[in-house]
Amino acid sequence: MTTVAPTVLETLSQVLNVPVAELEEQPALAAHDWDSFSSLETLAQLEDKLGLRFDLRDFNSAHTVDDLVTLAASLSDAG
Amino acid sequence: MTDTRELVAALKAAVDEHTAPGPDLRAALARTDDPALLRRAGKALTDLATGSVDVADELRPVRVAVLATCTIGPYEQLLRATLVGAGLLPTIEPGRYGGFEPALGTAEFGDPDVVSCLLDESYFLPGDWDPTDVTALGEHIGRRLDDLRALLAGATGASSATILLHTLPLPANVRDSVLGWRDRTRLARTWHQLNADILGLAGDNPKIAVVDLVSALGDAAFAARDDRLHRYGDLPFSDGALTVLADEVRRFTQAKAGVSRKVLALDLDNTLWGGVLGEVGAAGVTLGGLYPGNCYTELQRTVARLRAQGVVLVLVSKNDAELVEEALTEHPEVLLRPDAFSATVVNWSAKGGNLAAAAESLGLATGSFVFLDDSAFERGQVEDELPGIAVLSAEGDPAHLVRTLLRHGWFDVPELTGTDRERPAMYRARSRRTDFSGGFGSSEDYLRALEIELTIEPATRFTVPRIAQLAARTNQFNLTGVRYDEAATTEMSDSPDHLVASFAVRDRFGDEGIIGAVWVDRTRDTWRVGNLVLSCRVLGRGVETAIADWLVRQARAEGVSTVEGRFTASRRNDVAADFWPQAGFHATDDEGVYQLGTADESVRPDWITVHERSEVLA
Repeated sequence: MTTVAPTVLETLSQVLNVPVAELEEQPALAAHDWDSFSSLETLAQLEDKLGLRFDLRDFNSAHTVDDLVTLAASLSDAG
Repeated sequence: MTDTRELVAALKAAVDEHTAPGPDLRAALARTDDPALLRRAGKALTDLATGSVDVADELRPVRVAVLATCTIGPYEQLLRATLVGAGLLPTIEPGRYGGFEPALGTAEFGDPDVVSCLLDESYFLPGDWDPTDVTALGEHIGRRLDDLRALLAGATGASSATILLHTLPLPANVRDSVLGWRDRTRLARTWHQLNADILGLAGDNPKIAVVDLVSALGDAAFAARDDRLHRYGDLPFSDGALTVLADEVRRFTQAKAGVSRKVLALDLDNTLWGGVLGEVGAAGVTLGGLYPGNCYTELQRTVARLRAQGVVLVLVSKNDAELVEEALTEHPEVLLRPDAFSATVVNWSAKGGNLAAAAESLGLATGSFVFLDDSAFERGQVEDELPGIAVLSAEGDPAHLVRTLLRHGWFDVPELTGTDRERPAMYRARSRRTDFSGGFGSSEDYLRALEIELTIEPATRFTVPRIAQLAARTNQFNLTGVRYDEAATTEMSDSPDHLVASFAVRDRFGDEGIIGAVWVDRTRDTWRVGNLVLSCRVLGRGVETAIADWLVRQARAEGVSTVEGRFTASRRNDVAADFWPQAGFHATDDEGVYQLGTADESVRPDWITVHERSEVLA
């Protein structure tokens, strides 16, 4: 889990254009510019960087930064 | 990742400062095909100051409308980033979701330069179809193509834009739904016919152009589709596929806007042949035969093909000049002989200075150059000294040389003109003309000895592409900056209220072909020059003055009392600032507006013989 967290944070920071510290302070994605457009961009980048494939249903049900980290870590472990 | 972050940050900084991203940033954008980077770059460039005069001076403004049969999604960002990378300043206007047909049929987008259509199979296929009746499916596809054709007729009739379509891959999920091999083959054939018909639309209508996306995708390392994005967001193309399309659209737009390159400057050792001439001698260089010699042969063959289409070649090599001459003349496998090059600079000086000197002798800016060299040192020195030059690496496996040279489309033009084909020979004549000018007492003696002939003729369907190309490409002798495109030029040349004429120049050293054009609004009393453009390579010979004189005489012959011209300053057209006063025109109270009564005499350079076609005044 610790291995994917920095990548998830860094990617979200780039896509949503907010500093990592701000994401840590306010991890609810809805508090940022999280819409279908930015979420799909995040999906593409995370899959590319982490070498994994999300089930879009699981991905769409992630509402916080931590949800995304947990989801990515579970796939990463599984892989 | 750090590089990516730095690039995006630098782009953002340029946008915040209301400046254009510099040549180094644009080169970095042009080099990448990473969709994630391009998306972010495109987003960072959203607020690029399209209204700023300084930015518009550095980058060529273009308006691109996007219409889609699906979600446009990241295509807007990808397109913006690739266009900026090519030195363009795009205003992108996305159409509304679900509005493809009405927007196209009514030309809702107005008059942008390009309308990029993003098509998917949903436009051509019914919601459900019978896999046992491929014939009926083919008929349906044919009807949809007819619908598209009708919409395009409406759009191209109402708008001056070029509509850019693309071919479509047959999705695997459609193809594999048909189980019988024979039927599946028929389905594939039907689909290829659809693509052939889409490509055919460009042949029928000059305002339509087509990207062969199917072939481009076949060569790209991206899956065309991500089923999740397709189902979830109506995004039928992956970001990678959209990047491929955006890059093809960039190539067309760049060609149409006239920012393609004209000159290819080539290194010799380990670029045009393998090995170092100074070490192995003329007979020892690697060229021809099997790998790797065949790579260099193929590069030379490709370069020769570019030359045949108007790319001016410059040889720039650190070598002993005699040895180079010997190898180029005598090596049996050399395809580019010495006369293939319009300028040759072989010495031991730094290549940046040599390229600048070659550019000067050709009368072209280094910004119109592409430079191919295997040495990282030389490339770095040239890039550093001549910002704006496009630098390509010939380093590494020579098998990649041809792709390196061709893949970006540096030299693309919308349509090849006669002048394009003759350009290399004209530029060779030009350097000889420069030598000849040494032996005369005065410049007028020299001009007289040149025996200059100016041929003026009304625009015809054969010359309109060249005239539009001049409008797009000419920056220095461009009086008003108005860039009439092919469609507008055709319309004006067909109308009795306008006059469009081309100017061709020849002299004892050769034929320059069509080097200028004028667009005039005609009323009963006054002729107003909308724009006059002239290629820089004929300046300083009195041609421009002879053209003004001709205009005044034509107007007089038609009983028109006044000829009016304008000059609108840009950052690059200083050379033309005094054109009207020098031709005898008087400044008026309106700034930049000049007039001459046709009763007055205009200035006439007597060393130029003017030929004209009578249809000018038809």
